[in-house]
Amino acid sequence: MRSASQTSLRAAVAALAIAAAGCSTVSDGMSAMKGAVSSGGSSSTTSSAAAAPVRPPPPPVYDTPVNPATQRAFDDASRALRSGRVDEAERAYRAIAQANPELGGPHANLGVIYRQAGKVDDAVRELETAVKLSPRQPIYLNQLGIAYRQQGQFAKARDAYQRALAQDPGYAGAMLNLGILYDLYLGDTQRALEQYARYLSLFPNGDPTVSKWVADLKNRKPGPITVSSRQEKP
Amino acid sequence: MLLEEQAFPFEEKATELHELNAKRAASGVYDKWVKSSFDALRELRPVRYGKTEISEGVVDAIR
Repeated sequence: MRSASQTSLRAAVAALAIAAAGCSTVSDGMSAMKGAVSSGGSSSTTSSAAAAPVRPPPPPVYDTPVNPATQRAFDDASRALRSGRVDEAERAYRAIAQANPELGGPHANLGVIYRQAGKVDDAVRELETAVKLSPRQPIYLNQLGIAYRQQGQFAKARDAYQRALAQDPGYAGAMLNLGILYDLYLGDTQRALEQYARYLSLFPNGDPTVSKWVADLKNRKPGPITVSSRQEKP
Repeated sequence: MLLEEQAFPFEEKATELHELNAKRAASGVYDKWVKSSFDALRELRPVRYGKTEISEGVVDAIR
């Protein structure tokens, strides 16, 4: 019982420190508290909406086939990544990218690897290369959107998701991700609800997690900030 | 009064402050403090803030 109270007090102090740290009017006297907050755990409990089956978007059509040996090497690398042999996969994708600079797939997977390793800047660089090489590939655009979001480049993330959806209007992943972006990071409740509704319309049996999000959003009191069109700093 | 009841206002205050900080993301601020607030809110209000993007673990499209 005591620990519950103490935890709450610590949470309140931590919240004060975090909120104050971002405020330019707060003096340097908060620095000790800032340290305490930054060293505190940041593990998260997350709701995954991916419980519902999500159809991958159809690939764009290309005139020329990929060299079979290259395709095999790429598939082997993907198998390695899927099996958790990340270093092996990374080496393989890098070799394929070097030998086939016209292919976006190796860069896209390097982007996924780096993003999952917390190297968001490297992930963005690889995914931008992938999108540059295959601008009509919605999966690359979705991945780039996620990486931009993690980087805090929300306007770019929105554009990437919208481009993914322009290529494949039924791409559930990009649809939901755009909804989350509007919801949590752009403060645009209306657009978030629109995206969640679009997403839910793809699943006749529903998605209880996202339905819960929608109910929560509808019950939410309007916040003081609703900015969605502001350009982020690069 | 139970200790939990005494603690409740502090939890509420903590959540309120983290939410205020997290809202700064909408004006383009996404520093480590804002990220820390999002992390805290994922635990304090999982339905509202514990949302993770759908991501392909492996990209099968070679181009």
